[in-house]
Amino acid sequence: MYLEILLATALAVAGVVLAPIYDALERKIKARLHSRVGPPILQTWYDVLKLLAKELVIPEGGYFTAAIVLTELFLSIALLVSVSFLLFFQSLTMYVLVAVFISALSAATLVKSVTQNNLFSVIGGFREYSVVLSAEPFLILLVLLIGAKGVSDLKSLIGLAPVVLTAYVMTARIPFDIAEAEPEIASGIMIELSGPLLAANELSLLTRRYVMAALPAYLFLPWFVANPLLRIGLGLALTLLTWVIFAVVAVLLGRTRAAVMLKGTTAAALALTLLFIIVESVPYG
Amino acid sequence: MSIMKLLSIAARAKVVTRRYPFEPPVVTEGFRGKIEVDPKLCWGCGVCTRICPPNALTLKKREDGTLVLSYFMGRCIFCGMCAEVCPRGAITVTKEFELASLTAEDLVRNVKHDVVRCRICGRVIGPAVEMREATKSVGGAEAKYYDLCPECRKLVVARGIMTKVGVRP
Amino acid sequence: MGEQSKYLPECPEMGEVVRKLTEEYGGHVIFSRESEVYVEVPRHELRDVAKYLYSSGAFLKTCAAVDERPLNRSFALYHIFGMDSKGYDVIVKVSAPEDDAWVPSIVDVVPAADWCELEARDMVGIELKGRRLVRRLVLPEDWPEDIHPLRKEVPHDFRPPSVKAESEFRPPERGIPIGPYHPVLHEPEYFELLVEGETVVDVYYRGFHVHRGIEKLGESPRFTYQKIPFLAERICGICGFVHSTCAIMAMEKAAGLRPPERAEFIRTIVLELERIHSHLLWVGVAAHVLGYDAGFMHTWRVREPVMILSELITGSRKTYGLNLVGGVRRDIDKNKMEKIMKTLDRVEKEFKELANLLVSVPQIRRRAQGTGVLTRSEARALSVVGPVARASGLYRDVRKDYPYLAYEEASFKVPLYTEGDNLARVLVRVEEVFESISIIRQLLDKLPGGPIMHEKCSAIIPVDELIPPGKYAVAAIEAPRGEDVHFLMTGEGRPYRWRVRAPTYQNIPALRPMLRGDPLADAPLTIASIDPCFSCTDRALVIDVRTGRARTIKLWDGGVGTCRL
Repeated sequence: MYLEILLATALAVAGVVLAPIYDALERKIKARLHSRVGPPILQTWYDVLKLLAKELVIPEGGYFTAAIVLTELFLSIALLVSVSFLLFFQSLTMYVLVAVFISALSAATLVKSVTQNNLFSVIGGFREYSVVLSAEPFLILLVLLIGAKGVSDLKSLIGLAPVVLTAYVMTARIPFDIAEAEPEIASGIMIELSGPLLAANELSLLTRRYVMAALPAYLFLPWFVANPLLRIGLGLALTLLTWVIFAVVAVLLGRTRAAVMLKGTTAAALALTLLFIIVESVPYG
Repeated sequence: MSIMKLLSIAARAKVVTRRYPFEPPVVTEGFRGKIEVDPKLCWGCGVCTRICPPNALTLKKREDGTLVLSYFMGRCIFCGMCAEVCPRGAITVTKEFELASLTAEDLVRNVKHDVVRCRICGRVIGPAVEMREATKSVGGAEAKYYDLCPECRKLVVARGIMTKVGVRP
Repeated sequence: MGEQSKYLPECPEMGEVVRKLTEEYGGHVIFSRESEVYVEVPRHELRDVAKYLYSSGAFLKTCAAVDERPLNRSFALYHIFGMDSKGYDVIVKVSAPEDDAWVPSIVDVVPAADWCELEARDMVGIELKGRRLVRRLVLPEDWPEDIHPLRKEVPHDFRPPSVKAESEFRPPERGIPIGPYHPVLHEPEYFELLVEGETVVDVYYRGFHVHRGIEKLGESPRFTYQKIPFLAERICGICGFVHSTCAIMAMEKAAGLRPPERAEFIRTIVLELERIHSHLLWVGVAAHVLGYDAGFMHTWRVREPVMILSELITGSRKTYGLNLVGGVRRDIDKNKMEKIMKTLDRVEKEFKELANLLVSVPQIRRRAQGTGVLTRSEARALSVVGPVARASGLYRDVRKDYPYLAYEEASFKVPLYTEGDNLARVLVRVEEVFESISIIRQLLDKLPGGPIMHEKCSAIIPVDELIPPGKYAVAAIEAPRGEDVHFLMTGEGRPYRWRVRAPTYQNIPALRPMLRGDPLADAPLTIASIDPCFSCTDRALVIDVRTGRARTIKLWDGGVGTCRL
């Protein structure tokens, strides 16, 4: 029990450290697909450390925005910790906790964008809202479903599809990066942030990305692999693999339009989630 | 999935960017960079300063009696017109273009020329080298007027003629 | 030219126009040349003359205001009408005495005259009679009321004290600012989009932030004819060679000399190389605006060899410094020819593959199709130029309509689309890249021998004596973004008036009909789709949209389209 708590915590800490490294790896992959040399593997850490060294500028919108940015960072780390615990503890409470943190994190992001006194940020906020609406309810539903019933059958792996899809949407990568969309709304929700606050924002975004890359593996692994060490090994490996796949997909696509996105993703997520529910309920029905 | 073609395009293109400034830049043999003025060849005639479109080349008279051909890279558009018109072939176009500097003075190159002053009135007539070389090709009786300014020269010549014909100046 | 007539009336012959203008409107010919005729008409007839010309198939290239007080105590306004289908220009001059300086506005019959009329008012101080909306276009708000920079008594380096002006420009409440500094604008310019939800309902524009007074500089004693090509080249960082060649063509016309054939071929080849790199640059930027950075990076990778090639041929990646009055400074030898051929083969092959990839990306197709639509009648009324015109079904291409340099030696297609949306503008440019490649190949094949510089000209000989004062010339070139026009009136040793009309100047007014009703997300793409070049446009000082709330007025008498001004 204590060992498992220790392992889960270590896994979470590893996630915080690894997220910026994976991000630099993503930039490297992107660069290679662009035929560029690309940055060194520690670049994102360098960026974050440099931003942390800058003076603190309180954005328009005041201390509230600053507080929300830090809350967001806290929530994303809390989410990472709770997801790491999923690998060892499969009580429904754990799953509910994960669902709550996912939801709280999205809420924080939304609040952050509307507290800034900047049009671009507000537009970004509305766009963020549409991204969240199209994916988050399904992701939470899936987490709770798996938590409530467990998965044991190979056919349950069909549930991976909606989880991966909604997790991808939640990472705010292209084509779903419309909330910041640099050429359109000049970095949208991040426009008023700079220095340490931008670093905190960056870290929470990357931690969230790490969670979303880990989630598919962490949700399903415990039900199929008994050995905890093997779980950790596989968990880490699959997280990296998912991150790499996400990175490549983001290079292959362009940015979408808010209106198009809501319809398309919602429909796809809904269909896949329903499919999972139907497949899961067949033995009982 | 036709969007996957990107992967094959990228694989064939390989990495094309360079680790500049850790690798040398690539310039073709046609490239024009900053110019260099050879002080040994330059006469200070100033033809280049008249053709220079942005006035990067200027000819300035200094208080200390020298004439300075000044090249300011900050204004230069690297067109190479000066090299084309220089009668002495003193200007060469180099391939150098990394000219960034923290001080503007680093961007200035001066070629100093001593000047010849009029032996009578002391006015500056022109750059010493140009005057010397010019007199070489003139020679003869004209040579003795070379250190006179046009005004004084007129006077001296007129005086000479008047003395000859016996009129008191 | 035949294709144009499908939509527009065939233009009358030059003789017919001259007869009509002189006999019916009391005009008299002041100057004429093979493809240009300058007719002065009494100012009260201007509106009728403009109506007659515009309804008989002419496009308005631009108008140029000149301070002619030192010559004849009056101001003059030259309207340059291009008879596209017959390939000649009619320049209509109206004079206004200095103590009664007004001309009638023709903007209600020729909507395309909107900007250049306002510029004439700002820069020379000619009042416009009969214009409903009079506002500052070029001059900033804090510029003194009574100082007009292009009047002869104003020195070229004059800096007036700034006056406190109550800004009439008030950002509307829900406006989304794009600019003056914005990631999608690579130069300072200001668009304000009025949105409802994510839909753009109206647009305000304000530009001319990067005005550098180049026209005035060209008339100053600081410059001579042979230095102007280098100045003209700096009007634009993308199509600089277009401007230098166009200025030179005007000067050569005025001097009545024609450069050697080989020089004309070399200029044409470099012009087409410039089109290739410009279009590739634009396609890359469009991909970036749509979030497809892979397309951006790879297009620019494919473009790079063209830049290297330009450097090899001219000595510089941009601002080539190749042109002089009378010819070019560098020859293209065997070795360079081979390198051009090799590079073109590679660019053609790689870009073909890339272009197919780009249009297959779902987000690009979905967002470019059906957005930023400019109808044919709107395009016609505003006399838009270049790929913007050709994507809206207007067959306009200076290379075909007014053949210049060596274009008659090459056979090429002019891509034409009728959809008028962003996708059509993408496709027009993509196809033009391949046409340009083919043009260069044909010209290299036929490259004639001989000198590259006219015998009367060289770097060291001042050409000022060759260009007599008091001459007129209009030169036009099909730049990558469309028709570029230079109007020249010669003076003593330097231009008396040098007017530059860049393609973007003609195309920005078309953004309004294009943006209205579209999603905000696509606005940057639409703005980018005219390939705006603000440096070109602003060469001559800030547009200020002070019109208050929008209202609908008729675009022109033909009643083909309406545009809210």
